[in-house]
Amino acid sequence: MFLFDTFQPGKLIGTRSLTLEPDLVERWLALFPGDRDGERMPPGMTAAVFSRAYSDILLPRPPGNVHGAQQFRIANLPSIGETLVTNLSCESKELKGDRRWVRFASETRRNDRTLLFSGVMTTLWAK
Amino acid sequence: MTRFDRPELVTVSKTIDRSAIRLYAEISNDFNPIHLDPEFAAATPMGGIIAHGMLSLNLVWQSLRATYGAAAAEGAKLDVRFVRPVRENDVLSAGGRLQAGSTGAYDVVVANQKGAPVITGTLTFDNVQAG
Repeated sequence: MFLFDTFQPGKLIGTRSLTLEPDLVERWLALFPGDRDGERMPPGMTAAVFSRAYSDILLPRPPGNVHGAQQFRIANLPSIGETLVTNLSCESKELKGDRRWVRFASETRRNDRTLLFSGVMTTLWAK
Repeated sequence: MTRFDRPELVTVSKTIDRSAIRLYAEISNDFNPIHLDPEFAAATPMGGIIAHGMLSLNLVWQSLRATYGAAAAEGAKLDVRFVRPVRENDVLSAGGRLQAGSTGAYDVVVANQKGAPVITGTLTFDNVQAG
Protein backbone atom coordinates (compact mmCIF):
# COMPACT_ATOMS: atom_id res chain seq x y z
CA MET A 1 0.00 0.00 0.00
CA PHE A 2 1.33 3.44 -0.94
CA LEU A 3 1.03 5.47 2.24
CA PHE A 4 2.16 9.03 2.94
CA ASP A 5 5.27 7.70 4.65
CA THR A 6 6.10 5.62 1.55
CA PHE A 7 6.89 8.60 -0.63
CA GLN A 8 10.46 9.88 -0.92
CA PRO A 9 10.72 13.38 -2.43
CA GLY A 10 12.90 13.45 -5.53
CA LYS A 11 12.54 9.74 -6.21
CA LEU A 12 11.15 8.14 -9.33
CA ILE A 13 8.15 6.00 -8.38
CA GLY A 14 7.54 4.25 -11.67
CA THR A 15 7.21 4.34 -15.45
CA ARG A 16 4.34 3.25 -17.66
CA SER A 17 3.82 3.05 -21.41
CA LEU A 18 0.54 3.72 -23.13
CA THR A 19 -0.22 3.32 -26.81
CA LEU A 20 -2.70 5.96 -27.86
CA GLU A 21 -5.21 3.59 -29.40
CA PRO A 22 -7.93 5.04 -31.65
CA ASP A 23 -10.58 3.50 -29.39
CA LEU A 24 -9.37 5.47 -26.38
CA VAL A 25 -9.40 8.71 -28.35
CA GLU A 26 -12.87 7.96 -29.70
CA ARG A 27 -14.16 7.49 -26.15
CA TRP A 28 -12.71 10.89 -25.30
CA LEU A 29 -14.41 12.39 -28.34
CA ALA A 30 -17.69 10.82 -27.24
CA LEU A 31 -17.31 12.81 -24.04
CA PHE A 32 -16.00 15.97 -25.75
CA PRO A 33 -17.15 15.90 -29.39
CA GLY A 34 -15.63 19.30 -30.15
CA ASP A 35 -12.11 18.12 -29.38
CA ARG A 36 -11.46 16.30 -32.65
CA ASP A 37 -8.27 17.57 -34.32
CA GLY A 38 -7.35 15.14 -37.08
CA GLU A 39 -4.65 12.72 -35.96
CA ARG A 40 -3.52 14.88 -33.05
CA MET A 41 -4.42 13.99 -29.46
CA PRO A 42 -6.73 16.55 -27.82
CA PRO A 43 -4.81 18.53 -25.16
CA GLY A 44 -7.25 17.55 -22.41
CA MET A 45 -6.17 13.94 -22.84
CA THR A 46 -2.88 14.86 -21.18
CA ALA A 47 -4.91 14.40 -17.99
CA ALA A 48 -6.07 10.94 -19.04
CA VAL A 49 -2.53 9.83 -19.93
CA PHE A 50 -1.27 11.16 -16.61
CA SER A 51 -4.12 9.55 -14.64
CA ARG A 52 -3.59 6.16 -16.28
CA ALA A 53 0.07 6.17 -15.31
CA TYR A 54 -0.76 7.39 -11.81
CA SER A 55 -3.49 4.76 -11.37
CA ASP A 56 -1.28 1.93 -12.65
CA ILE A 57 1.83 2.86 -10.70
CA LEU A 58 0.34 3.78 -7.34
CA LEU A 59 -1.24 0.44 -6.53
CA PRO A 60 -2.51 -0.30 -4.01
CA ARG A 61 -3.35 3.08 -2.57
CA PRO A 62 -5.91 4.16 0.03
CA PRO A 63 -9.32 5.17 -1.33
CA GLY A 64 -10.53 8.74 -1.13
CA ASN A 65 -7.53 10.81 -2.21
CA VAL A 66 -8.56 14.35 -3.16
CA HIS A 67 -7.02 16.24 -6.09
CA GLY A 68 -6.08 19.73 -4.93
CA ALA A 69 -4.12 21.29 -7.78
CA GLN A 70 -2.64 20.50 -11.16
CA GLN A 71 -0.13 21.87 -13.63
CA PHE A 72 0.35 20.81 -17.23
CA ARG A 73 2.91 22.11 -19.69
CA ILE A 74 2.48 20.90 -23.26
CA ALA A 75 5.52 20.88 -25.51
CA ASN A 76 4.15 18.67 -28.28
CA LEU A 77 0.91 16.78 -28.70
CA PRO A 78 1.26 13.17 -29.84
CA SER A 79 -0.55 11.58 -32.73
CA ILE A 80 -3.07 8.78 -32.45
CA GLY A 81 -1.27 5.45 -32.48
CA GLU A 82 1.93 6.72 -30.83
CA THR A 83 3.37 5.05 -27.74
CA LEU A 84 3.79 7.40 -24.79
CA VAL A 85 6.13 6.77 -21.87
CA THR A 86 5.30 8.48 -18.58
CA ASN A 87 7.64 8.78 -15.59
CA LEU A 88 6.03 9.51 -12.23
CA SER A 89 8.04 10.80 -9.30
CA CYS A 90 7.38 12.31 -5.89
CA GLU A 91 8.29 15.98 -6.07
CA SER A 92 7.55 16.80 -2.43
CA LYS A 93 5.28 16.02 0.49
CA GLU A 94 4.07 18.06 3.44
CA LEU A 95 2.09 17.41 6.59
CA LYS A 96 -0.15 20.37 7.48
CA GLY A 97 -2.01 19.55 10.68
CA ASP A 98 -3.69 16.25 9.88
CA ARG A 99 -3.60 16.88 6.13
CA ARG A 100 -1.07 14.89 4.13
CA TRP A 101 -0.20 16.70 0.89
CA VAL A 102 1.82 14.95 -1.81
CA ARG A 103 3.05 16.51 -5.07
CA PHE A 104 3.65 14.12 -7.94
CA ALA A 105 5.65 15.19 -11.01
CA SER A 106 5.26 13.53 -14.39
CA GLU A 107 6.99 13.66 -17.75
CA THR A 108 5.53 12.02 -20.83
CA ARG A 109 7.82 11.37 -23.79
CA ARG A 110 7.87 9.57 -27.10
CA ASN A 111 9.92 6.39 -27.37
CA ASP A 112 12.70 8.53 -28.90
CA ARG A 113 12.70 10.59 -25.64
CA THR A 114 11.12 13.70 -27.19
CA LEU A 115 9.27 15.53 -24.45
CA LEU A 116 5.53 15.71 -25.09
CA PHE A 117 4.14 17.14 -21.86
CA SER A 118 4.81 17.33 -18.16
CA GLY A 119 2.68 17.84 -15.09
CA VAL A 120 2.56 18.29 -11.35
CA MET A 121 -0.35 16.95 -9.32
CA THR A 122 -1.01 18.05 -5.75
CA THR A 123 -3.05 15.50 -3.82
CA LEU A 124 -4.50 15.28 -0.33
CA TRP A 125 -3.45 11.74 0.47
CA ALA A 126 -5.94 9.55 2.33
CA LYS A 127 -5.03 7.35 5.31
CA MET B 1 3.85 32.77 -33.70
CA THR B 2 0.52 33.65 -32.11
CA ARG B 3 -0.12 36.92 -30.29
CA PHE B 4 -2.02 35.93 -27.19
CA ASP B 5 -3.51 39.33 -26.59
CA ARG B 6 -7.27 38.98 -26.81
CA PRO B 7 -8.85 40.41 -23.65
CA GLU B 8 -10.97 37.34 -22.95
CA LEU B 9 -11.04 33.66 -23.82
CA VAL B 10 -14.22 32.37 -25.42
CA THR B 11 -16.59 30.88 -22.85
CA VAL B 12 -17.49 27.20 -23.24
CA SER B 13 -19.97 25.12 -21.21
CA LYS B 14 -20.77 21.52 -20.36
CA THR B 15 -23.14 19.61 -18.09
CA ILE B 16 -21.31 17.13 -15.90
CA ASP B 17 -23.80 14.31 -15.50
CA ARG B 18 -23.34 10.79 -14.15
CA SER B 19 -22.65 9.32 -17.57
CA ALA B 20 -19.90 11.88 -18.19
CA ILE B 21 -18.27 11.04 -14.85
CA ARG B 22 -18.47 7.31 -15.58
CA LEU B 23 -17.02 7.72 -19.07
CA TYR B 24 -14.19 9.89 -17.75
CA ALA B 25 -13.41 7.22 -15.13
CA GLU B 26 -13.08 4.63 -17.90
CA ILE B 27 -10.91 6.86 -20.08
CA SER B 28 -8.61 7.91 -17.26
CA ASN B 29 -8.70 4.57 -15.43
CA ASP B 30 -9.51 6.54 -12.28
CA PHE B 31 -12.16 4.58 -10.41
CA ASN B 32 -11.74 6.40 -7.10
CA PRO B 33 -15.00 5.61 -5.27
CA ILE B 34 -15.43 9.26 -4.37
CA HIS B 35 -16.44 9.72 -8.03
CA LEU B 36 -18.53 6.59 -8.50
CA ASP B 37 -19.82 5.09 -5.24
CA PRO B 38 -22.62 7.16 -3.64
CA GLU B 39 -22.41 5.41 -0.26
CA PHE B 40 -18.64 5.74 -0.02
CA ALA B 41 -18.73 9.35 -1.19
CA ALA B 42 -21.47 10.26 1.29
CA ALA B 43 -19.27 9.12 4.15
CA THR B 44 -16.35 11.36 3.13
CA PRO B 45 -15.93 15.07 3.94
CA MET B 46 -17.26 15.75 0.41
CA GLY B 47 -20.64 14.40 1.47
CA GLY B 48 -21.44 12.86 -1.89
CA ILE B 49 -20.18 12.09 -5.35
CA ILE B 50 -17.86 14.61 -6.94
CA ALA B 51 -16.60 14.66 -10.51
CA HIS B 52 -12.94 14.18 -11.38
CA GLY B 53 -11.27 17.57 -11.32
CA MET B 54 -9.50 16.84 -14.59
CA LEU B 55 -12.80 16.19 -16.34
CA SER B 56 -13.77 19.80 -15.71
CA LEU B 57 -10.25 21.00 -16.48
CA ASN B 58 -10.72 20.13 -20.13
CA LEU B 59 -13.12 23.04 -20.46
CA VAL B 60 -10.13 25.39 -20.11
CA TRP B 61 -8.39 23.67 -23.03
CA GLN B 62 -11.63 23.95 -24.99
CA SER B 63 -11.85 27.65 -24.19
CA LEU B 64 -8.28 28.11 -25.42
CA ARG B 65 -9.03 26.26 -28.64
CA ALA B 66 -12.23 28.25 -29.23
CA THR B 67 -10.19 31.45 -28.93
CA TYR B 68 -6.88 30.70 -30.65
CA GLY B 69 -7.31 27.39 -32.46
CA ALA B 70 -6.17 23.85 -31.79
CA ALA B 71 -2.45 24.52 -32.24
CA ALA B 72 -2.36 27.01 -29.36
CA ALA B 73 -2.11 24.23 -26.76
CA GLU B 74 1.47 23.39 -27.78
CA GLY B 75 3.63 25.69 -25.71
CA ALA B 76 0.89 26.34 -23.16
CA LYS B 77 1.20 25.93 -19.42
CA LEU B 78 -1.88 25.49 -17.27
CA ASP B 79 -1.61 25.87 -13.49
CA VAL B 80 -4.85 25.44 -11.57
CA ARG B 81 -6.37 24.71 -8.19
CA PHE B 82 -9.55 22.72 -7.67
CA VAL B 83 -11.28 25.06 -5.27
CA ARG B 84 -14.76 23.59 -5.04
CA PRO B 85 -16.21 20.15 -5.81
CA VAL B 86 -18.23 19.57 -8.97
CA ARG B 87 -21.45 17.69 -8.28
CA GLU B 88 -23.51 15.52 -10.59
CA ASN B 89 -25.49 17.61 -13.07
CA ASP B 90 -23.57 20.79 -12.42
CA VAL B 91 -23.45 23.01 -15.50
CA LEU B 92 -19.96 24.38 -15.87
CA SER B 93 -18.68 27.34 -17.84
CA ALA B 94 -15.04 28.11 -18.50
CA GLY B 95 -13.25 31.17 -19.73
CA GLY B 96 -10.36 33.48 -19.05
CA ARG B 97 -9.30 37.08 -18.84
CA LEU B 98 -5.97 38.55 -19.96
CA GLN B 99 -3.97 39.69 -16.96
CA ALA B 100 -3.59 43.45 -16.72
CA GLY B 101 -0.64 44.72 -18.71
CA SER B 102 0.15 41.24 -19.94
CA THR B 103 0.56 39.48 -23.22
CA GLY B 104 0.18 35.76 -22.99
CA ALA B 105 -1.04 35.30 -19.41
CA TYR B 106 -4.66 34.64 -18.60
CA ASP B 107 -6.50 34.19 -15.35
CA VAL B 108 -8.77 31.23 -16.03
CA VAL B 109 -11.83 30.04 -14.20
CA VAL B 110 -14.33 27.24 -14.42
CA ALA B 111 -17.56 28.08 -12.59
CA ASN B 112 -20.73 26.16 -11.81
CA GLN B 113 -24.30 27.17 -12.59
CA LYS B 114 -24.38 29.31 -9.45
CA GLY B 115 -21.38 31.27 -10.65
CA ALA B 116 -19.14 29.76 -7.98
CA PRO B 117 -15.61 28.96 -9.14
CA VAL B 118 -14.68 25.27 -9.14
CA ILE B 119 -11.28 25.71 -10.82
CA THR B 120 -9.10 28.81 -10.80
CA GLY B 121 -5.64 29.35 -12.16
CA THR B 122 -3.44 30.75 -14.88
CA LEU B 123 -2.74 29.91 -18.49
CA THR B 124 0.55 31.05 -19.97
CA PHE B 125 2.48 30.44 -23.17
CA ASP B 126 6.09 29.73 -24.01
CA ASN B 127 6.02 31.34 -27.43
CA VAL B 128 4.66 34.84 -26.96
CA GLN B 129 5.11 37.52 -29.56
CA ALA B 130 5.99 40.80 -27.91
CA GLY B 131 3.26 43.37 -28.09
